[in-house]
Amino acid sequence: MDTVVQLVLNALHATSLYALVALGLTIILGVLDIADFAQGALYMVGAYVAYYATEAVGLSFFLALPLAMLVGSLLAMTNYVAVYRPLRRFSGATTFIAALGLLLILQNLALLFFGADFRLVRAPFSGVRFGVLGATWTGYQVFIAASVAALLLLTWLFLKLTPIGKRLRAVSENREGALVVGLDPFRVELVAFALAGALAGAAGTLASGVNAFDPSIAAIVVIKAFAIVIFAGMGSVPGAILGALIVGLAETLTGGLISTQYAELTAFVLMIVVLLFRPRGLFGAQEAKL
Amino acid sequence: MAAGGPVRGAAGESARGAGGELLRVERLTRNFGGFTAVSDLSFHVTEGEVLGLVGPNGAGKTTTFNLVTGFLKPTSGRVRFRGEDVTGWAPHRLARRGLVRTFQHTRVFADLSVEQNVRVASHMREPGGPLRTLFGAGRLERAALAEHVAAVLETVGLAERRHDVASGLAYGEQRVLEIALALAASPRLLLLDEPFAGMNETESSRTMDLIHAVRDAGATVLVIDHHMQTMARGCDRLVVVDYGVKLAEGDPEAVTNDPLVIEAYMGASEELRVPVVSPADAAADVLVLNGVGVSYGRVRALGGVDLNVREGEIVALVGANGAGKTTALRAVSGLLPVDKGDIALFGRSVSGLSSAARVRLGMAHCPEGREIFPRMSVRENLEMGVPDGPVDESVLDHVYQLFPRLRERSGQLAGSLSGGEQQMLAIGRALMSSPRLLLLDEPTLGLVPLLAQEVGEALLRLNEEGVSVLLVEQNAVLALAIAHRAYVLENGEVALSGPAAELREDAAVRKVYLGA
Amino acid sequence: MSVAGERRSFWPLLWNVLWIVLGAAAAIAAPHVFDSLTGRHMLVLIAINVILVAGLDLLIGGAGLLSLGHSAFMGVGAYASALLVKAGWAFPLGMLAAVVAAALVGLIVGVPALRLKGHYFSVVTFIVGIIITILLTNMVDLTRGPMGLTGIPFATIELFGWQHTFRTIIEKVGYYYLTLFFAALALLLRWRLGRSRFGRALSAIKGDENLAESVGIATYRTKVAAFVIAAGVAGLAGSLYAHYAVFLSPDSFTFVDSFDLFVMNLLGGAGTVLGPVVGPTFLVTVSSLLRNLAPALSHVVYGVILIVVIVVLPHGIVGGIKRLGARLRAGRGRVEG
Repeated sequence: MDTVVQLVLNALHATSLYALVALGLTIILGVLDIADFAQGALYMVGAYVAYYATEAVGLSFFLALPLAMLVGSLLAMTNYVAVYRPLRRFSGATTFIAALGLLLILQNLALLFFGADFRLVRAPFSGVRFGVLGATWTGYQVFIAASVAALLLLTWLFLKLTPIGKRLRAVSENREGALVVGLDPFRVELVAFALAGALAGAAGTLASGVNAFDPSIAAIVVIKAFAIVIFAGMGSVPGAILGALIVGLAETLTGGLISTQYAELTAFVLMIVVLLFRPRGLFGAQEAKL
Repeated sequence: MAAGGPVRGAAGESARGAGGELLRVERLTRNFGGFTAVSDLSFHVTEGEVLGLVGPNGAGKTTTFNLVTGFLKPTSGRVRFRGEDVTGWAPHRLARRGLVRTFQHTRVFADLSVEQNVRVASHMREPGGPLRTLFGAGRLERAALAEHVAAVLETVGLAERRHDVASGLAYGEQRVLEIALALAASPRLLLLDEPFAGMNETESSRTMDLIHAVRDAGATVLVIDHHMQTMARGCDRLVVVDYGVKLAEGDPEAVTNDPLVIEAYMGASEELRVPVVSPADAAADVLVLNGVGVSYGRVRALGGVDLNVREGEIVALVGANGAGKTTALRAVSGLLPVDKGDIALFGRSVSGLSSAARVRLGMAHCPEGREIFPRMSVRENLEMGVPDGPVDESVLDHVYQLFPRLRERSGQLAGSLSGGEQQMLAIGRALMSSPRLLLLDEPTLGLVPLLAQEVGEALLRLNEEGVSVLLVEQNAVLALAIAHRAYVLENGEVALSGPAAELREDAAVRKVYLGA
Repeated sequence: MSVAGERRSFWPLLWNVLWIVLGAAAAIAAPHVFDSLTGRHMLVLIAINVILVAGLDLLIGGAGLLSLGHSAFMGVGAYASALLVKAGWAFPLGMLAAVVAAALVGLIVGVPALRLKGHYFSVVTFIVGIIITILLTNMVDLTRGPMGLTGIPFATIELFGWQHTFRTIIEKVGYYYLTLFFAALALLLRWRLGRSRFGRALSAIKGDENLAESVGIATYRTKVAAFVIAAGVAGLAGSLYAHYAVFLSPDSFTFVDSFDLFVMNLLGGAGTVLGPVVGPTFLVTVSSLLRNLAPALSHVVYGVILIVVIVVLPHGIVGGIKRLGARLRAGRGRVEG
């Protein structure tokens, strides 16, 4: 069995990938209060784009990453315009059902086109190894960590400094206030989806180099990411990232120290525990919608 | 507490309240974070009476209601019902003891018929259990239930509409159905939450008659509402609250003449400068409302309102709660659709224009409740005043001059500002787009008099610089002190209008607010 | 939903009875019309799904609770029955145990989950469904996990000396009638529950939970009860499935299957008695046709159907027909029957 340090190192890349997806979900929740389960499909698409770009077309992995992000963005925006936006007069439950429907459609379309075989992408830097405190870290794992950190930083800067980022924050903090000052919400909503789609696509691409994937990861990843968002408290961006950290660590530690079979359940167990004792989430500000 | 006795009061009133004490509220307090909604409130309800709980907007009436009926838990204090301590009981448990309530925004089972609604509400009178679930109730039981449902429908006068779907009923009928539902639960104490909301005088009167009928049938009634006229006429006793504190209690006539009560409703303020220059009569209209009507579903919030604001004026829009003042502003701002009449901004009709487009025309709206962005800094909030365009530093500078406190706190998170500072921030944000017309909704709500004064003075300075203002205020005294002209809204229509100086002295204004 | 004392016109009553008689006749005759092994297989599947959807509809149509992990309860019942009958229990007892086991799990899930409202409840049920699937997969010592549980005994019934074993691999008609019997029971239960005080309380909760509380309905308790009943019914269906397929794998009880049930319910018409019949019939037929093309395609189609139903036909097929009928019959805003 690996040492704790090794486990923590391994946890970092799982964590960071969850963090990207959870961040995207939180942004959409904040701006539109939609539980966009279809984001999982974007993660899956990111992985497949990486696979086909590198294997079939021979593109460099470093180009596949921005390509996947672009595809993710476009697909997310399409989902919004084609499905969620027309349904906005219906209840939140209806939109959630539509999101599930989208997830299912996209996941199964992938199954049809790509087949059920597990795939893995040949990732750069895999041969390189670093020794850290007696444990080993591959170059690719470092790359993942660095990429995720960069993406999170860029997202933070985007939200904090750019005009559209500020508008996005305004709409998610107080939609009424945003409308009153004459802000047009549509563009902000579109950007929210584009951003979330890019993050999910990136996460999928990065993951494709370490975790063998098939279309079913779409559902698995998004459900876990949602459990993280619920655990951390909906609407809290730093909370989502911290939550991903906690869950990722817990999951890897459980897998390494107890059993890999039950590691899958960690995110959900944490979610249920939080729901029982603190329904608004660990870092949630307001009451969970009750 | 004494077991009741005749109500102190006007001669000729029959001795209601001859029963024992049914409900007692003792030192009830409820905090929400730093804000105290209800503070040390005590009162009682005697069996057989109709007690009215009144107070201006934000007074804590609904919170009190929710505390008594189990939808909120008190921070401290007790509630006793029929001698039992029921503090913190869940609503369905209270209902089973005979304490039943209605809701502020009409709640009925929209998809069921009138009869089905009452049947469902008779849940507690129906026997249950797995045998009856699987095989149906006995014939006698079914007959008894049918009789109960029919009796309730008769009492409220909805018997003829029994098969109609609840969502198809007129607004007034839905409110009556609501009372029927509460009745079906066979209450000892019936709590009615704003039963007269959205009603005109005739409808209110009829509803009050229904309340009397309910009382005469054996239930005790506690009503909260702010239609002072109807409440003063129909209730046996009144309790007045403001800012969560009891102001007065007793006979309606005495209470409505109590100076504390009058001040709570209409506001009071120190002498403010009155506008020095009246705009010339030939000044152009910056805003015209022509026969504007707005409805929320079935409720007609605005009937057919005509008003205008001329360039350089401060126009006040006053009136009691629910009169339609905020609705009017939201309609002008584009947040609410208009189903009758037309609105013109700076000479052009704005029907169909989005809020964003109207802001670009030169209007800005500072809404009730301020609606600032709490996790953004003061400066970022101000920048949001021009969401699409670049920020004009000179305009920002001007806002800081008007509200120096904001400059001091420009990097601070808006959510950490005090109420008064947030209000200034909201006004400042609205000013960032250099509007020619400023819509202000209740800018002094929740502010201490000193800050309200500051805000009022800032408005006067703005107006001197040429900004026209449409000011909605519940604090009529302050609003009438700084405005050129004013309109008084009542039940969605303009009841009075004219130069503010005249309205200030007019007893009719007081009547609109207090019914007396 | 009818009310005591409401006068029922003659024709709608006759219409309903006619449909029921026709439907029953069709159901009984079906295996002789579709007399291929495949056809009869489909009929058994339809019947099992009718049971599942009837139970689910108590939550969705009856209480407005969108439970999205329902298959998991079926799985619990299936494994419970399979394992116990394998261990020597009689089939009827195994079936009973399945109901109890599933109901128990329903209680464990429902108690925390029903503290949440709206779509947060739905998300949690969805997640819990997955948790149960994972558990079933991982408890390999018990369930043999993904390798699948084989050797499940056929259902054997003993009544007054008469004994019959339903060897479903070769002979399906008998088992079909067995499942049809339980399907009829499930529909009857759904119907009676809907018309009872309990059902009225549920529809009050569906309409407006706060209002329901204020007229004395113990909403939380009522919701939990409905959840447990629905889970138990799903357990029954699971048992029937286990002794039909005589092979179980956790793959049959995933969230995708829960989703399918959901689509069946909505398509048929939530809140109607016949909806749970129409939905499964339609969708099992469609998916069989599509299975020849590709299994994944059927789920794509389900997803599309779902979105179309939400937007175009929110009351499902049966609901839509009823509304059409009501609008044709009466001019003003009367209540549909």
